[in-house]
Amino acid sequence: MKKLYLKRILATHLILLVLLLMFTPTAMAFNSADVKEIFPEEQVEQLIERINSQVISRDKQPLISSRSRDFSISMRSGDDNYGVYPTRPGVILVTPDKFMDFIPLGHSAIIRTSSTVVEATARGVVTGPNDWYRTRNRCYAVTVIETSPEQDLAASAWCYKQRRKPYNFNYFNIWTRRRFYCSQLVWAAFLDQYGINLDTPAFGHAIHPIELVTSPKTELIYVKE
Amino acid sequence: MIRKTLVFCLILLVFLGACSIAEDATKNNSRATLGIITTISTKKNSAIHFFDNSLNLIESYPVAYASVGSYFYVPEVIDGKLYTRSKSEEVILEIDLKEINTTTYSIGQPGINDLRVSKNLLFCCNTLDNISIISRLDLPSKELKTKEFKDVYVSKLLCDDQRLYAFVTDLGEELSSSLYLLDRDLNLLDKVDLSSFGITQYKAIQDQNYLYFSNPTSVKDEANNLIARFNKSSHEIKSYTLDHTMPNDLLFVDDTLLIAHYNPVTAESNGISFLDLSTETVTHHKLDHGIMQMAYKEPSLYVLDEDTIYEYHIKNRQLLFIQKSLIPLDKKGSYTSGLFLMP
Repeated sequence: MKKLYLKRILATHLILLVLLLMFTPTAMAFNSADVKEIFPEEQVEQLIERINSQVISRDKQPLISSRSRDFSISMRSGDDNYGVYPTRPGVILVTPDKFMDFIPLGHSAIIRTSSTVVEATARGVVTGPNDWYRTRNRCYAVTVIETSPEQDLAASAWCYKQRRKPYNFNYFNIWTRRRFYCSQLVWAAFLDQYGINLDTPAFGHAIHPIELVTSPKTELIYVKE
Repeated sequence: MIRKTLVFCLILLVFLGACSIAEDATKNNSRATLGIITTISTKKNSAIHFFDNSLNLIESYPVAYASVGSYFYVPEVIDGKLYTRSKSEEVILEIDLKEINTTTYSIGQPGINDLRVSKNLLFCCNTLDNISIISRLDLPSKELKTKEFKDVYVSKLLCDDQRLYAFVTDLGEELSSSLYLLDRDLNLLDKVDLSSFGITQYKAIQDQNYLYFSNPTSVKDEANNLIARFNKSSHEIKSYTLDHTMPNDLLFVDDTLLIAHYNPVTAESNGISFLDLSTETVTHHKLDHGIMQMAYKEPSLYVLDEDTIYEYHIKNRQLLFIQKSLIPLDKKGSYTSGLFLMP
């Protein structure tokens, strides 16, 4: 009788576990309340405001591009683009777009080749098409001031080669290399290879993607608003 | 008891993994000639817009997922069903274009890039932690099989009745590319080096004997002007040099291969080249708009740009502009992510 009771309890828990797994979206792996506490929305907005006064520089290397005199660029009506959307490996992409419109985390990635980007996501380090020109509502591109294009390229290769690295939900533990979150991955690439620390005093040790734009060690080369 | 519970859980997983969502019952899309996907990356607010042959918008159907489709890939339409993916929500969408029912399949992989369907088998690819995963889903039975390929990025899939073709690029310090030939059980049969033609091939089409693929960037990651043809039997590759760079979308129109010169990364464009496959002569047609994707239904060539669909007729290898129509992109952050012809 007792054995049957235990089995029932176990079965109920198993069903509940399956239901929980089925109805918990991947995104909810981020605890929205924690993220908002670590990266207060007002502070993120203040940093974004600061970007508006930043000068848009020319990239350190001529654009690797199809561009020739007879090429034309099309864009959606209503989009404001400043500078040229980058395709150079090692350029850092940042979006302040809120995940599903409520998590003020933003996101960052690094260009690996002209048509691919590498980004740390909740599921690991993902490689995909360089499509931020359209898929992001707002987008910034920055380049590290003191590095050469070759060093930027090597930094992007370092990010790409990270294997079996799950998401780092402990945003303050930026020193681990066993797991990454998006801006930590990009930050670590330049710190570990060249000793360049792109972190700013904002948010303590945690690195918000926007800090990669406001860092005095990067310069803004493209803005989409 | 435990066994019964496990069986119940398994059934529940399969049921929920492939649940059908009945949407708007009003189906006026029977007059539709083509469909266009619009989507947003941060909101579950995508849509399919149906246009008639005068490019009038007939109907728009909401699709309650984010990041649906991709303008890097032409949507797959097989047996009246549209197959695409929601990148952020990690699901494959099967949309019955007649009934407008959406069935979702969970592959369990993040960041799905391309997907193709052939004879009840759905193949898709993603690259996670420097490992590409090609997944095969048996649509009727929901049986899932995956295969890992280390150190490469799979940029494009194609399949026929016998084989699956995967265009892969090694994105390590030294860039290189290959064509992987797999059987339908995902066993690797052969690798063909494509590095001399280019890397990160995103667009390819096929006929019975050949694969044609665009090489918009060279192995040095610089703008390129090559189209290549792979012989499925002999594995020989022939290349065609074009006068203009950034070949992207490809389309067969009779014995002519249409090649869009378009950089999907930066939305730069430079018209369409016509490659006559019998004489191998190339003519170029300048267009003053982007060519994100193309589709052909005699006598009309449909060209998708950022927020506009254009119709041309092709006469004596010349493009005649017929009409254009705006695509409803009324939501902030929305973009077009696919063009397809109605079955």
